[in-house]
Amino acid sequence: MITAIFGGFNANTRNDKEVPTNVDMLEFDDTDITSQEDTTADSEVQIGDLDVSLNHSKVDDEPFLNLDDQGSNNNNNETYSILNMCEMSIDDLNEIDVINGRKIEEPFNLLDASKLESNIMPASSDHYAHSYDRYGFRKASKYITEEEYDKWWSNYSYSCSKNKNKWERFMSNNGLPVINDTPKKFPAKNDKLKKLVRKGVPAEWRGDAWWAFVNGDDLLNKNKNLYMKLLRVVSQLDEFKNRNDKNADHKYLPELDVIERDLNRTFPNNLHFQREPFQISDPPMIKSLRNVLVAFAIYCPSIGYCQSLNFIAGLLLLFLDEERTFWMLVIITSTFLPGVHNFDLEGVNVNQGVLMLCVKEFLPEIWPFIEKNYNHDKKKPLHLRRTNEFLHKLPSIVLCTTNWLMSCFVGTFPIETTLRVWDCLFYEGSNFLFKISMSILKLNECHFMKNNDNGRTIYHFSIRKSNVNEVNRSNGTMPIEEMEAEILQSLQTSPKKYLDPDVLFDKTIMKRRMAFNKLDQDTIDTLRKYVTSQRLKYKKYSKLFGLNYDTKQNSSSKNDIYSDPSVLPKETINEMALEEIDEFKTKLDGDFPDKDVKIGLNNKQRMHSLP
Amino acid sequence: MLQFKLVLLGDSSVGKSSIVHRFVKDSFDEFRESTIGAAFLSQSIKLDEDDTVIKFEIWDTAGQERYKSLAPMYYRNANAALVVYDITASDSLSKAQSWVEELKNKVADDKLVICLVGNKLDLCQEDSGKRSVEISDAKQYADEQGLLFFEVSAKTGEKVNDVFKSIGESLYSYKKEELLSKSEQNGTNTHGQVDLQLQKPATSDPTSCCT
Repeated sequence: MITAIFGGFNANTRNDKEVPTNVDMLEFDDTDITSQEDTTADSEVQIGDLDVSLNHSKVDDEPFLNLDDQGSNNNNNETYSILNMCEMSIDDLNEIDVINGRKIEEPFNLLDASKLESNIMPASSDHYAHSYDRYGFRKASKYITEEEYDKWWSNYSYSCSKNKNKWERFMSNNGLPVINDTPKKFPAKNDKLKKLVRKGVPAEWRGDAWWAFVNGDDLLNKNKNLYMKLLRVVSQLDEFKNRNDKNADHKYLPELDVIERDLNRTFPNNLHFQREPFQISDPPMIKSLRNVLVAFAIYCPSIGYCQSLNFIAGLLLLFLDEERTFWMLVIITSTFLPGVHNFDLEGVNVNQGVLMLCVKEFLPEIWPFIEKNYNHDKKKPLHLRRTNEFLHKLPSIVLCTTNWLMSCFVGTFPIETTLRVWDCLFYEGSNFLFKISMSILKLNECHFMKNNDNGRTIYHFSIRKSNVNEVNRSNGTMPIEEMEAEILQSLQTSPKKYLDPDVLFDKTIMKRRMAFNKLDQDTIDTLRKYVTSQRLKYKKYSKLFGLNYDTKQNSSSKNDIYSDPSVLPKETINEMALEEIDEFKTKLDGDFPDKDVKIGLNNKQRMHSLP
Repeated sequence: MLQFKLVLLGDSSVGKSSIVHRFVKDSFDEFRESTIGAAFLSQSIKLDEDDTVIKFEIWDTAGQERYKSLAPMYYRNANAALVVYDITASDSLSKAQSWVEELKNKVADDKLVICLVGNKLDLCQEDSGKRSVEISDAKQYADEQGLLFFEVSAKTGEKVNDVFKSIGESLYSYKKEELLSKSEQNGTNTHGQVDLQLQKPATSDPTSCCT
């Protein structure tokens, strides 16, 4: 049977309903809706105050999660801050519904991903079903063969089941029931739990565990039925679309087209997202993905839809129902990656700036390769050399690191590794994203060091100036651009080979001597604020001197104020203004303690990070 | 071997990644995952002239409007840009035109080679009713702006290699001009930092294609 092929992974533990046997039954009918509402009621597991965003470990004398007052205390007027961003109030949503006076499909509970397998996969598919993993992803990729996967999996699946035993013992030691292979509650944060999470949450429990770690019920209970209401708007949009009422589309959601185009470009290699030739309508997973993305775009107009959310939502849908996926998306975009998916994507730059500061602090052995030509320009006055100018004009390495954070490593690694990262991300907070980013950089260290016999190449890495090339040629070292290309290439492709999450974790995250493992959430939060304000100031300062920030940033190194203010055209700026810039820059640097950014490590600790 | 940086720009799902994959791997997928941020690939070609080998470092970018704010990072120091539109979607041509404008305004290098490419030619060959951008209109625009211009199909591979070949030839001719003028000036070089660096020893296997 096909279900057997999918190994132990069965998200359909909550519903004991019969598995539909033909495609027609996938259509939602009233019975489905009722049973699904029951499910929702069942799943009101109260999880207490797990503070994911700040990574504060909870006191041990609180082994169970209290039924927190927050959950039951809210009244309907209380809205989550993001809701305030939403132009449409709940009343508006109701109104639309009343005006139309029509019955609207309730959300389809896709918790039962596995239930659908038999429908998604054609009967003839048995012969190739072994090519797919337990989540429906194709095992083989450009970088891993199916044989390699199977060989690894035979060991890994064994350690997964051993690991699950540990989880079960842990749960039962804490007096927490696991009924039908579904945990109802997770303990409050503690070291033992953290250790278990780092070893991986059992795949069958993942949805519930993530949901508990991010305290999803708090948000859901505050906003009961909101998702249903949003879905009504979604189906309205559909109706407008079917009527070919283009204006209506645009009035509500300018990015509906982009979502539509991305639906079939989300995990095209996953069985659940594929449409088989005999299927007339979209597979249920695609329908759910559309619902979640459109509902999110309506709910959060400051983001709308941003490419990369499709992958995050898509992966969530394999483990959670639509409604919880929606709220997870809200939590991820507000708590874990604030501003990253907004229209201007400024959060991307901020987070990349934070990553660069982290690398500078925790991977000092790699930093010189990454950094632009700011610190070693001997023409520059000394007080300007220790600046963090790279925060404004980010080093070229961010070309690679940007999508790591934007998509939370979906697509960066093979799927099991991505999922392990997600386990820790939701448990430990967004600092984990930075730790993993630094892990990849660390593991690619050799590519940075290559062809560097005399240190000069480090010194001039990524400087695109002719004199430097001449230096390199005379030294016989690798030309800079080629080296840069090689590093970028390996940063992009090598993570796709990290099939085994244990290997990645053992080499980096689990190593005490990796300095970046000291990084905590408070530091990340502080750094985010710092980088945000620095970038803002720099923008203002560019305007102050009549420079078009964007234009200057885009131009090549000619007259580049970012690397050297002295090359500014004389007619734009006189000597007095130059002094002012210097002063201003010094002031900027002074804004952060100790002139240079410190992340709370003394030199002795820093030494440990050296190989 | 000469090495050049090429960046792909254009609206979402016009087929930027598909064109690159056809060029680099000679393969096509009906559904390709949306590109997040940017992806890096490289491929070399050999020009007829002087047997010159050109290596392209290709940055394939995300097409959604909002990613425009990241684009400068990707086209910084680019030698060539491939601006792609979908010949079955007229909106995408205006997006392409705005990319051309941005490149012209913001890239300091006046030797930047821009190639306008209309993709999905196969769809119009199957059913001419699907075409919504006339070839003459696009060609006229390209001529006015001094761009190279092609209509291609990433799916069938038609003309895809021609695009890169013609970009390579343009880059090579600029390069030769520059070397010539340089030798006339007796090696004194004041500008052209971006171009000068392109002269490199042939260290890599020209047939290699990075993945």
